[in-house]
Amino acid sequence: MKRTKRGQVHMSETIAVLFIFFILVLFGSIFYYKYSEVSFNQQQDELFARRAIDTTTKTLFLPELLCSKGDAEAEQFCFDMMKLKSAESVFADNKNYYFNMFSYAKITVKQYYPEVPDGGTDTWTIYDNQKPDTTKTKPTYFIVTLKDESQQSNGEPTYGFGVVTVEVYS
Amino acid sequence: MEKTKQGQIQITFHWIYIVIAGAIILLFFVGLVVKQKAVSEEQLSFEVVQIMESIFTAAEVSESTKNSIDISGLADTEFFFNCEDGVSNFGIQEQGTRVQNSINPMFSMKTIQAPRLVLWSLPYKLPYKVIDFLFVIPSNAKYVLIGEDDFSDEFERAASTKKETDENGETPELTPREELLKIDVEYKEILQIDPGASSHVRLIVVNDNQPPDIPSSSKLSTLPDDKVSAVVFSGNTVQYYRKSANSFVQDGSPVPLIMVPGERQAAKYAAIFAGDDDIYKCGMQKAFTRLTYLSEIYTSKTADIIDFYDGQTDNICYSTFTSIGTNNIQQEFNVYLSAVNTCNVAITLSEFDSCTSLIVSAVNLMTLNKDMRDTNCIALY
Repeated sequence: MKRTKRGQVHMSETIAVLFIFFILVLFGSIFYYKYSEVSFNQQQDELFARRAIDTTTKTLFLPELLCSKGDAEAEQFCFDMMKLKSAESVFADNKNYYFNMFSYAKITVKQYYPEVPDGGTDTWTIYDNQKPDTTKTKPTYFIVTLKDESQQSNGEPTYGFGVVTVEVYS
Repeated sequence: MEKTKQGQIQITFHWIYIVIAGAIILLFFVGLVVKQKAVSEEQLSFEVVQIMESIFTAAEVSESTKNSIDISGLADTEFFFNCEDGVSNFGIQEQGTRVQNSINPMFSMKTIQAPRLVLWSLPYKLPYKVIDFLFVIPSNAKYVLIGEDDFSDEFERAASTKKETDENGETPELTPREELLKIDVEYKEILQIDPGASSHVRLIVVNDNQPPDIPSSSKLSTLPDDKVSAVVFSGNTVQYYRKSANSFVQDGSPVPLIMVPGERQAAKYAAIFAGDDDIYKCGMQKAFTRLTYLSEIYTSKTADIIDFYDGQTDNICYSTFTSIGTNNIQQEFNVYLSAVNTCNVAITLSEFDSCTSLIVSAVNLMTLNKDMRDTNCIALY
């Protein structure tokens, strides 16, 4: 079969156009993939941050820990030490239920005032469920009042303060 | 100029080739756009549902508060709420995205399409605080009180953020923020009800009355059946009704209200805002699951209180509340605990009637707790 020079040039032209077209499509695809990846990671970060806030909010208002005053509204940002001491075992015994509430997280309360004498407990890990293949943790700290009715002074409960740390695992 | 046959075929082929290639390329991009649109819509609905869940969480824990959220940007979007076997679902109608929740009791109509939502949180106490109930109320829903009693007055005041009259007998005007928190509640006769642009009209019938028939001349009769419903409170039970033509028919059986006396009884308010008896019972089931776990904490606190006063024979707290006797906190709490466990099992089987003994023991515990508090003893809650 006879091939003309003009035909060969034409063919090369077509191949070049197709080549450039596919290169452009490839660039487009890579760009889109990278954009999607960044956007996905950003969304994951946002979700993670939102989960950290939600978990902290839920912790601070837990009826299992909050101080109460009879029928009056609960005392805000105050943990009842008598409840706090038993919360750890109750949360551990009912892990499935509290997992639906806190997911993968660790919640600790550390008492700073009054200082605990040597040998005493000043930190309570009320919930601990670490993710096996965790890649990121986000701790949030919050100061709370600790009401101890077992340490009375003039018939009134004593108040101390501590820090609640909520670490969320991703 | 002479045109060869070969040249003509080549030009035709050339054009066919261009058209096919162009069509394929166009098709590829159209496919990409369609797919991207579907992905974007799904992503958007996922984000909307996630953000709303966070808003609901924050609104719920803020005890005894009302919040208004503007969702006018989503005015065309219909949200659905349902709850089964202690697990609620919330999402956008006809979209795959949904959020499941087995912890927080949320009471709402089955579907909501409104420019604004009022989120109202009330603590459920039995007798101590168990959990916060969240009521999701569309701004375009109308609540009509039929009959009058103390509860209806309290509800009207609380829902419509009504202010007390001042010393001159005048009612101060609501601030713009208070206006946003207002729920459309009013006393009306059935003939006077004008649904206007309401998405749903709910009649709240008190004083053991029955929901009245709907006269065919009333504007209410023109609304579709699923847009009108009624709740009837008789004694300590609630019965749901749905509209069927010009009358109301029972929707499920009467549900006992498990609550202790007092104002702002969350269980009763929840019955008003729940779409039907299934949503109500499911929300209550969540509350009772929580009560079971919470009671374990209070079991331990009761033991700590007993330990604290142990042997302090000259202390009134020991002699009155913690020593062996009729008014013993441990004894009272054990009775209460047993009723909680019985009630929790019964509720999972939808047998709310078995919880009557719990109400009695909760009231006894409430009285004892008040006595302990009044005597300056360590109280349970």
